[in-house]
Amino acid sequence: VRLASVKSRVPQIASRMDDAAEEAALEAAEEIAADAASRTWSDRLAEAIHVEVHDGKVFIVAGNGDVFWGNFEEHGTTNAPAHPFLIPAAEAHRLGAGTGIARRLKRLADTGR
Amino acid sequence: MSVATRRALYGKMAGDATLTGLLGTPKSGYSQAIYYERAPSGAAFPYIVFSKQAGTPRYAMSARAYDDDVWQIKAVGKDDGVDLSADKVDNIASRLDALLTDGTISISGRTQLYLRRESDIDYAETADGVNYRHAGSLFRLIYE
Repeated sequence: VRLASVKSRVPQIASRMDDAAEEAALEAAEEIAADAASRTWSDRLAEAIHVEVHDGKVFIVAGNGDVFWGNFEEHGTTNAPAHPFLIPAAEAHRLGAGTGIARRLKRLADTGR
Repeated sequence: MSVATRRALYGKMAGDATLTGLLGTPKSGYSQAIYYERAPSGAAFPYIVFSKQAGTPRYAMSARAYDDDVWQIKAVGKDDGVDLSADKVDNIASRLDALLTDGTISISGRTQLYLRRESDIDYAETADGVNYRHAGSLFRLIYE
């Protein structure tokens, strides 16, 4: 009886796995984006840091149509040293983000939700 | 916090004749065209700039187990009018990868555990009408 019960939930879990992983990744990305914004000296750059989803992949974008120089700030130019804000934020949350996604998938496996 | 790792990386790069042969003439007062964090004003191109991008200590059983750093190491080239700067900096980036990925560096008082190219940096910059190219990589360095 228990085996039948487990089997019956497999399609449900499988169908929700991508959504659950994306939800967890989005949550982690929002945390990293907020941390990155707190690490830059520029209010304009901080406000331009946001999360985008394309083809199921989650991206943290440091810039917009007006603020194009996030890359120069992160990696430096010929006249200015690098002031990294995005990579340190991602590094600080690296373990936590992986754990959060794993926890979300485990909850899905345990409860089907 | 970065003195030992900075010196270890510099020593590895400065000691490689193939790499230094690809670089411009060092600025007076410097032995190689390899600069930490930023190049001095008037430095000849191409040169290498390296800086610490992130450093995360990892702990186990209430003691520090190892340090997990990300170092940015890149070549910077200036468009010399015949548009070869991309080739120049790409060649330097390739040499950096060959030299550092799984390469051995000597960190004073610490032991290297891991050193590998992790992702690439490749972008152009225009300042005062002059084009510059940046090419290199982020290297992950783990040491205890």
